[in-house]
Amino acid sequence: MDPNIITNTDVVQLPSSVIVIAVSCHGIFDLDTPTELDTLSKGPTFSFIKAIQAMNEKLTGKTPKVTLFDVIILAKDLQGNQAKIENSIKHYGLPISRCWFFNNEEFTQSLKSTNAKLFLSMDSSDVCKALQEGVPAALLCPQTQTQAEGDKVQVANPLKVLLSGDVMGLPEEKLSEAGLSQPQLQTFKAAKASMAEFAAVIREMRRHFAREDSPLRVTLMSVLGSSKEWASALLTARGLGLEVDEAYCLAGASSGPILNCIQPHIMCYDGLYSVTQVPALS
Amino acid sequence: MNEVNRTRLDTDGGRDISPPRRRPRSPNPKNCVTVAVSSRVLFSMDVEQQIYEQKGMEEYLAHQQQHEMEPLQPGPAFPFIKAIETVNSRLRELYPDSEEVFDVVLMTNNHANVGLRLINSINHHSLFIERFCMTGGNSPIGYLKAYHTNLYLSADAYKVREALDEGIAAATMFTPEKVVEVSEVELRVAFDGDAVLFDDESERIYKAHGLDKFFEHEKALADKPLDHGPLKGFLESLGKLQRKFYAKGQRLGCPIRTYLVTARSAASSGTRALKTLRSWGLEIDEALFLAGAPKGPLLEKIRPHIFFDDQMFHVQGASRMGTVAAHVPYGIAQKVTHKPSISNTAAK
Repeated sequence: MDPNIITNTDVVQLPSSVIVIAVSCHGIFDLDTPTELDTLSKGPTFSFIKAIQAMNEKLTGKTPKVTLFDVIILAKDLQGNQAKIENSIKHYGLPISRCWFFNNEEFTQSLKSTNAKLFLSMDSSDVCKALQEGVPAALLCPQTQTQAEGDKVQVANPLKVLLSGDVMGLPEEKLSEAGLSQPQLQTFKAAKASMAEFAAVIREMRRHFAREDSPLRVTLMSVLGSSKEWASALLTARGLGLEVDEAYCLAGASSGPILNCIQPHIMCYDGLYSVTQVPALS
Repeated sequence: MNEVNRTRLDTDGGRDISPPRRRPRSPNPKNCVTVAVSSRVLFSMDVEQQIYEQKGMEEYLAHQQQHEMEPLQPGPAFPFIKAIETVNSRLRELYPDSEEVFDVVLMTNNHANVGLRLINSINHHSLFIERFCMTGGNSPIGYLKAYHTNLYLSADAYKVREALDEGIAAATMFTPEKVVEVSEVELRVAFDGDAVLFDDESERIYKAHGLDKFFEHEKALADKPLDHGPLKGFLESLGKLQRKFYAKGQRLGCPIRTYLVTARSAASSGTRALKTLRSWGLEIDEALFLAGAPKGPLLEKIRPHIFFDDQMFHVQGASRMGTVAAHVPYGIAQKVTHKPSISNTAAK
């Protein structure tokens, strides 16, 4: 076994048939603030892991033998922090089966060898790289909601997934008219190409729950497209077997304030806007 | 900020969706007058509402999906929205590149699956609504703020109160008991005075001390402007758009007309109302002082597309005569509903 893959002995290792979701370590824990302690404090995307945990627990409550997915952590350039990360995973009781440590150069190689069906990260350039390699990937968004005192009660809200109505409903011919740069166009197309696989993962998450107590909420948002193109996107989603709960069509309005209201955990990155201009992501 | 070029894209006919007409670009929410409407006031959804209340969410959603291709019929806000679009066309003729126009946003609690039926209905009736928020059960307040909403219309009094608490002009709409024709070329908006355009200071005096005290108070303070009420801002926005027509020599043909319909008396308590408006630099086209007489018959003559009042008594009276009336749940009148108030007592 690769010495850079740490197995979490507190968690049952799952068969390879279970869907693997790879999550970037940056953001789950606070890796910027220097600390003397053995464990790291929570980072801005910590609540995502708790939301997954809530989902798993809910499912185990119904069907004990079924496990939804296998969550692993990818830690890029963090070999020095191995011990702290391991400790932190155990300390918070996170449902993470393995942690992969690697260098930046090994990124795409490592990602592919995990067989992950979905890669999630706060870093848009990593998400782009993953998309280009054909791995469905999405942005993990920092949660700006204030946490309860003493971090004792961090209620896991439903996991909110934001799909791009533009990726799913905008005809490609219209893209050039929209004045996108080459890199943006590439990301857009890559996101579109992996849409079906991404939808399959979401569908799998959703399948086990009824509407009322679903720990997952799917939102479809169009930034560039018209309401008619949003409608096209909804039909595409239906075709992919996806149930959409919330819908927003911005018709060119600034997406920042709307995203602040939606507060997604996972956001389909379609290359249409710079991450820095979205408060929810910076 | 380095924004992507926000080009609006024209659309072709597509599968299953009624093709919309060619439309201009949606304006930046900061520059335009944003009117947010809920689905139940834009369209008539009584049947669907009943299904939801009696049979639950799943049946409701299934029903909506089954009837996706059937456009919904107009609701109480529909004529108002249509008139707004007429004003927009006229504004665009005079100022083709200006973003100072109305923008209508569909702001609904509805589930995204109902979206197709709503969009089909919007297109069927040739409405220009490109922006929407279907919050799937979440509060609309954050979204109202994100769109710099100038007026929010809903069938849900609770949401309207929430909006008012956040400083957003809002009113609960009711379907009138009979249908009367309203103008298709001129947007007419009627406002009550106290607790709508003005705050409820005077209403409080009346309730605490009676009509005589109210008159004394108003006379003594005739030159002191009242504080502003929840819909003052919206009147202001209408005034700004009116001035754009005046600037192009179209005062007489201006397609926006505003009315003050108040129980105050012209000779006495009305003075303070007019002076307040003047101190705010706001114009109102017609000021109607009823001195306590019922508002219904007068409104029936005016035929506004919408009439705002803080008292359900007046809203109901207007509705009975066919006026689209909207309740602004603001001020002291909401707390004491059974007592008569200034405006439904015969004046001296």
